[in-house]
Amino acid sequence: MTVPTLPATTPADEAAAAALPSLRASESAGGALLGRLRRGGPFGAIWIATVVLFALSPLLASGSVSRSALLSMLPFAAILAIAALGQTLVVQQGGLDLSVPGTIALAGALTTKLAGGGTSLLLTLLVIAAVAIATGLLIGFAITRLGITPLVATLGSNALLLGVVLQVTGGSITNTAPQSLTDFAQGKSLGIPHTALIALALVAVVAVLTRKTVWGRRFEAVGANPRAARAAGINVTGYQVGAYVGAALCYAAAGVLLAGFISAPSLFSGDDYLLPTIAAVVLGGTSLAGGRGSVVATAVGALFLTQLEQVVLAMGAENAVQLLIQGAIVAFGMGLRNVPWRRIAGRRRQPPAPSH
Amino acid sequence: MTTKDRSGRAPAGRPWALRALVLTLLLLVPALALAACGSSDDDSSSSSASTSAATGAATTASEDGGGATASGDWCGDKEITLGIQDGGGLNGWSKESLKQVELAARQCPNIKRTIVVNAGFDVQRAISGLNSLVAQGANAIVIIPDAGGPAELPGIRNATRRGVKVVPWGSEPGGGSAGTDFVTYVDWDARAAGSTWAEWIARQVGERGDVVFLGGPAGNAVDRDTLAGALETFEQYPGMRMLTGDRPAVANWDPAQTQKVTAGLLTQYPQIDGIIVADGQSAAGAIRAFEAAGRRVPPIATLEANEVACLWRRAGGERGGFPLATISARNWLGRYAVREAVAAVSEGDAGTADIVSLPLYEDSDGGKMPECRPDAAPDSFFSNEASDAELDRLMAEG
Repeated sequence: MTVPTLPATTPADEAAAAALPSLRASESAGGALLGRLRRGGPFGAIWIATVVLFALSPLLASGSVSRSALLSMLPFAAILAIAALGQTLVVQQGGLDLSVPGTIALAGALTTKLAGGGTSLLLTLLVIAAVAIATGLLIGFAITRLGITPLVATLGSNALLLGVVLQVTGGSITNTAPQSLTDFAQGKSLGIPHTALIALALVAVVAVLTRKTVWGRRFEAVGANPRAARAAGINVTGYQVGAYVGAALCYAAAGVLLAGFISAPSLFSGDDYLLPTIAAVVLGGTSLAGGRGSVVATAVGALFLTQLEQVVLAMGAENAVQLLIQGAIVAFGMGLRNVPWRRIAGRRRQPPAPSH
Repeated sequence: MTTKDRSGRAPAGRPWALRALVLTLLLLVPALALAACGSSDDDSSSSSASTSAATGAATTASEDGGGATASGDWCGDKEITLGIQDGGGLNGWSKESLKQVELAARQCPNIKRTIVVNAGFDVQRAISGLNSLVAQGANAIVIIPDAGGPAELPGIRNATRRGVKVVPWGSEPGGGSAGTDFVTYVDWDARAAGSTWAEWIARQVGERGDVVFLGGPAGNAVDRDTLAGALETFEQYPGMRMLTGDRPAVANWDPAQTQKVTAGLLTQYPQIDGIIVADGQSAAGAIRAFEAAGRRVPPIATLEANEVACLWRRAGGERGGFPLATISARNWLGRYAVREAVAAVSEGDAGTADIVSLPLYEDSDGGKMPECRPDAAPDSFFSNEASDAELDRLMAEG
């Protein structure tokens, strides 16, 4: 991929950088774990939490890091990571996307309806991509041009999408995903599930795009302060709408993979992904106030959440206890970010603007 | 963050009226979409009539038992407006249930009108839907009260008090008693079903083995009863152990969730000799979890579903596949619920037991082999194609 790289050269980018005092170009997407831990930035905590979780897993439930357990867990983590990737883009623009369930469900329904009904897989994927782009454009238009709050716009779109799902399917999934897709989604290459490989590839592409290009820097600047960005001549609307389009494409990809993986997804299979995507984003350290974000940290957050669910399940705790443990750990994980580590370490004064 | 910040423009430059209009539209659209779905249910009901005619077997069902004798007994001569409510309404099981109810309704010429209201598992919609049926003049109502259980009971009582004949079926009305709060409750014997599953698994594993039970949402009444039946049966087999204890593993009757939960159970237990899954399609999730972990699929007792039968067929069927036993998805009980409700209005004779213990519908170990139809939907339930005469025999054994 040939993309322009930092440093910024145009006046717009300089203004963007000025609007983002906390932006550090050194924070690379693929940065080494140790570097992250040392720096202890907002995106570091989830790495620590995840390492600790995996270290503790065998003690909590023996066999929960065995090969078969990991192979069972990874596809779900991968699908969640792909959906959470989209959520990250929206959160970076100061929004929250509630259309995740609708888009995942519609992509799944179209996969089973079209490809499962004999349409070629390629054509099905093109239709799904077109639907996702249209959804993103609709939401983006409602938010940027009509001034509707993201929560309301995405909530409304979600209901709209679920309505379309019911219309398309007539109330039940009447086909399964095509065998080729099922074989792919359940398959492995080099011992790694295909779903995980796709998630890795997508995260890498989006990470490079958002962290290593002028485009990405402007994207962050728009999220951090749209007025300043507009004053600097950046096409604010374009970036904001782009976030929703990109997000919808991510949800659609997750929906297609989910349909392939479980073959006959229920009509509301997307419902299980709304809150976990938001939790993964916040656990990853992306501020809900918008601006900087890390899709890599979000993906790690998704891995953390899925492994946590599996460990708690494997502990054999009662359902009530399972939910309590999960809730407490997620709350703890989120709270971890707000601890003024630097002040504790005595290195620097407390950084400004903690999230709330 | 405010609107102004996001667009970077002062809001004063934008016409407020337009914004308000679009906001209203955005809020209206989902409502309209839902309304459209409600009406599409009516559409699908009429279209399901034609599909059942097209499938042949179902047509036989209506013609076989739907003759003058059957309708003469329970139909009577009073004019009837039949209200139909489903607590869910949005899945294959619900669609089939509606189809079965309408199949029976068509046998009685006195049913002049049918009104269908679905609740989409929303208690509030279930309650208001029931009230609206009464308000629209329904004098007989068949209802699957699985949106709220006990929360729906006051509405059912209220309708009964106003002289409407209400027959809950397919899911417990959550208390109340037949005769006073509603006409009668028509369903399978859930305890007996659990016991039948447990018996079969015990036989498969030589009366010695560890079994898991995968259920629906936490605390639901159906799983409570089937599991109780299974545990009761295991008491007679000292070698049988229910690993998941006296509560089902919560898997929401959903294939994806069942797959995750099964993966967790596989991590927890190195040896699982048998699985009971409360929902047929979810059994597919359990099977995939075993396959993903590279473990041999043990005997599975569950409800019928085309998808699970097809997975069984793909795994080798009679030769080398995992043992599979299913119980009927029992949507056809809806036909009997209609008979009961109509007979109560017309003071006729429904001629049926209310609670029926169902035998195994499919058994790969003998009896009826699981039936896979690759062209049919994964959530097709073929036991519903049985004729009224066949079902009457089953109900008589009740």
